[in-house]
Amino acid sequence: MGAALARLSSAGRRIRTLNSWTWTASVTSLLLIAPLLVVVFGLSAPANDLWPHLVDTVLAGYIVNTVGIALGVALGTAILGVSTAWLIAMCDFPGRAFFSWALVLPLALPGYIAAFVYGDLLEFAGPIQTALRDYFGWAKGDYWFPAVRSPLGAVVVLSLVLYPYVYLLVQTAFATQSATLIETGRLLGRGPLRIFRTLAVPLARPALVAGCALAVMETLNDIGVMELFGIGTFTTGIYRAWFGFGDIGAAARLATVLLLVVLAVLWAERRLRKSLRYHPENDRSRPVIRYVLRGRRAAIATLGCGLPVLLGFALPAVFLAWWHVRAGAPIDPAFPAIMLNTLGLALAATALTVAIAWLVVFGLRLDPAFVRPFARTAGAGYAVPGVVVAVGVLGLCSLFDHAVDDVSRMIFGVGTGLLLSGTVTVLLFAYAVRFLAVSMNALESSYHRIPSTLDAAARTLGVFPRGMLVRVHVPLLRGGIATAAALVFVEVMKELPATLILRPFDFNTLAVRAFEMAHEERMADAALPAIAIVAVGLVPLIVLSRRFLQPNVAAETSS
Amino acid sequence: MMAGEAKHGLEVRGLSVRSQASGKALITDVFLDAKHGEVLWIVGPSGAGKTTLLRAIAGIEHIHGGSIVVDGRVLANRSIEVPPEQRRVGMVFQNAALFPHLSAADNVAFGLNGRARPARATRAQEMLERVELADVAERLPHTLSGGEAQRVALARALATDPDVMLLDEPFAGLDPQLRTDLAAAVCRVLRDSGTVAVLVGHNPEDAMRFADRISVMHDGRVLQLGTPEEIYSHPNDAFCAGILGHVNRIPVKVQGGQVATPFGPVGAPGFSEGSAAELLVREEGLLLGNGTPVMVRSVRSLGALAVVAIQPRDDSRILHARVPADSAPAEGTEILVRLDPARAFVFPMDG
Repeated sequence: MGAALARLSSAGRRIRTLNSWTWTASVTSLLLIAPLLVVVFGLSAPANDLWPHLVDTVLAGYIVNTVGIALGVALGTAILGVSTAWLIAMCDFPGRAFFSWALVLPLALPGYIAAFVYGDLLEFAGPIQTALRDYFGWAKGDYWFPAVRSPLGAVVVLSLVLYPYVYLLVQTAFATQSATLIETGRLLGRGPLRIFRTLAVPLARPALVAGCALAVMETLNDIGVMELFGIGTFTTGIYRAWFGFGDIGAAARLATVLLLVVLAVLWAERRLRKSLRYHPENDRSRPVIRYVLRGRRAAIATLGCGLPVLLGFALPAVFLAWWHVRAGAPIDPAFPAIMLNTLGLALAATALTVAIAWLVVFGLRLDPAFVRPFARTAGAGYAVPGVVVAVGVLGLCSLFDHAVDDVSRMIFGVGTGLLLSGTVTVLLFAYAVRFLAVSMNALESSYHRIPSTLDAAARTLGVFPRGMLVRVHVPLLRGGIATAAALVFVEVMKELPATLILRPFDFNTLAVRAFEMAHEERMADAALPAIAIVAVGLVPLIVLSRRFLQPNVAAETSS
Repeated sequence: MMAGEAKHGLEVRGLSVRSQASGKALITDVFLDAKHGEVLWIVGPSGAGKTTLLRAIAGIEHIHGGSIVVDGRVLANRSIEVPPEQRRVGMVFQNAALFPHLSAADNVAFGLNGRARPARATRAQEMLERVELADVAERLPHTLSGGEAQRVALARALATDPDVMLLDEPFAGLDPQLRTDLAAAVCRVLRDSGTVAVLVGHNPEDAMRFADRISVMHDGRVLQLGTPEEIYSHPNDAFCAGILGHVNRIPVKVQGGQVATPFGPVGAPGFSEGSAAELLVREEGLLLGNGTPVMVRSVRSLGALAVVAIQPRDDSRILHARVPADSAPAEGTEILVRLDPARAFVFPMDG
């Protein structure tokens, strides 16, 4: 909020530059939120038979499951994230340097991949239960074993792969923002536990809320885990309404309700962050002096950081590799084509998304006051679940196609048929809606490092606006562009919900392939695309951990 | 110079600027003019609107009233607002604002569009020579010292041959000796270039020393515009009197067209009988030698000068006098002090 205010006032001091750039940026932003408007206003379309049926039978279950799992994941990621963040930020123990970045690794593992690994491992016929039965001589019904394909299972699996959001944000808050206050607390004679409870956690609450909100957003977006575990939630409901019944009206209604849930989460996040904040983050970035742990305590700390890494990343990764190796030589013949397909799609989507993001961010730079409302609204696509975006894009394209078809019939007497629906263009558009914010954030944060006086200098030297973009911004933004591109690329590769709904017939990506093969329990065929996704997903983590964990790295080298 | 005489230079008429964020008036009804080859120095406390005025002239701030005209060409008024890139106005920013990815020479050549590459390189080198920095041409900005960076920024702005040059606190953050040398060099280059130069600076001493004229700003208004001597000797008001040096402020009452001081009466023409007024006496306006006996309470040397705290008899007030250090009296002695009427001013008491 403080940063936003500062930006607002500096915006007021820049001159307004309404030109083709700012207009294009604003109109493009509007285009990107059009699908969401279609979802919301699609509700007024006449209902058909499926909707009342859904309301009577499954809607209550969807609400309970969706909200319950989201709350469970918020709690799970909070516990895992805060405890590991405290250990890394405030304590020294064997392996701390390693864990400080290894704890981020689970983010490379999409939930649906973790879900099919654990689903297979822990099911009745899976290796673990089989081994238990063989060892103890049990038979079916002799023993109790938690059902992995259950809402609780989904909570655990999602918490294991999503806690790094909380870890990253809270760890940074612990390590830097409250360093002076925590040191003051120590000097005043407070022990570690009391400092944790009375100082560190209260001070880090805004970061904790932000991290949990990210995890909850991912949970609401998830379709893979829910489908693989057979749990009825809004995402799976929307998917079935569209895929199973071809009822876009019912899908849009479900999507609207899901959108309301998302808005509620966003609103709660804003409110909580505001009311839980004690002071603006004006503390200088400085690492805190850490507690040195020895003996049993050090072992517990190592274990506490090791388990999340093991369960959230290492174990699933090892099993994926093992399944792949066990399958032997004949790899899935479809794989090379799918790989190429995915790379091409991700490249195209990245180029499109980064280009749009750049246009919008450049517009923001030229005239913040005018472009900001458009840019912020367009950026909201990231909070919107992929299935909702997909339903909106479907609706928008069918509106467009039918309008073009009608006009063509009227003028030429011949229809054009459906121009966009069912093409890759639709998919690219959906990715742009969904991932615009990711690339905008990366570009904006590197734009913030370019002082506005450089723009003013370029202008007074007669170089504006294209020359300023090409000769000043482009060379200074290379890092930001690379980051934005890497993040979008990986997001597109992993993306499942929107891709499942919008992909052209017989068009496969790695994510869809891994999901479908897992659904058919063909683990060997699911493993290879999953490994590819995880491998590519490691790239942005390097970028991420560099950006977030810098203060710690500095502390390590200086001490 | 013939062409220079035909040009009018910069004319700012009734300029007003409000904050876009809050609508608060940043500068109000500002009148200014400056000729080619002249260095106009704007002084005033922070928040006076000095930088806003420069930004408005450069075109990177909207105006809400008045006009900005250069050599008869309207840059901004009620209906016209020429964008900054077309104003032919150069600006040097407080932090130099050099493009970090370009060498010093490339920075200087940045605004030279529409020329062949070799011509640009030649011009850039020529400009660097003019600011005596030919040897840093290939260096990147982060390797330059603060003073060097400012001179490169000056060369960059001058390279496009602007009609008006604006310098926003170009010497801020430099140590005093460097600041004075740099100010001398910069003002020489500016005068030689024949441009209209408007410079914002904090240090009144530099302004007195290097400016052709000074504009005193306070609270978004120009209180006085004149040569350093005019402002020093004939300040418009108490604020202008105080900005170019240290003054003693003494509340007084006007009686019989004059005010009484411990050093005899000072004329106060035009004041109504019995009105409250303020007498401002420059510290260097209290002269030792003959006059009224006072006690010396303390003596603080500033090097060449000394500040002497004196207390007139029958008066609880301490006044300060600036005298040559070698003629400074000893603490605790009684000396004679008189007042230089040319360095004492009577102004109405502020509401």
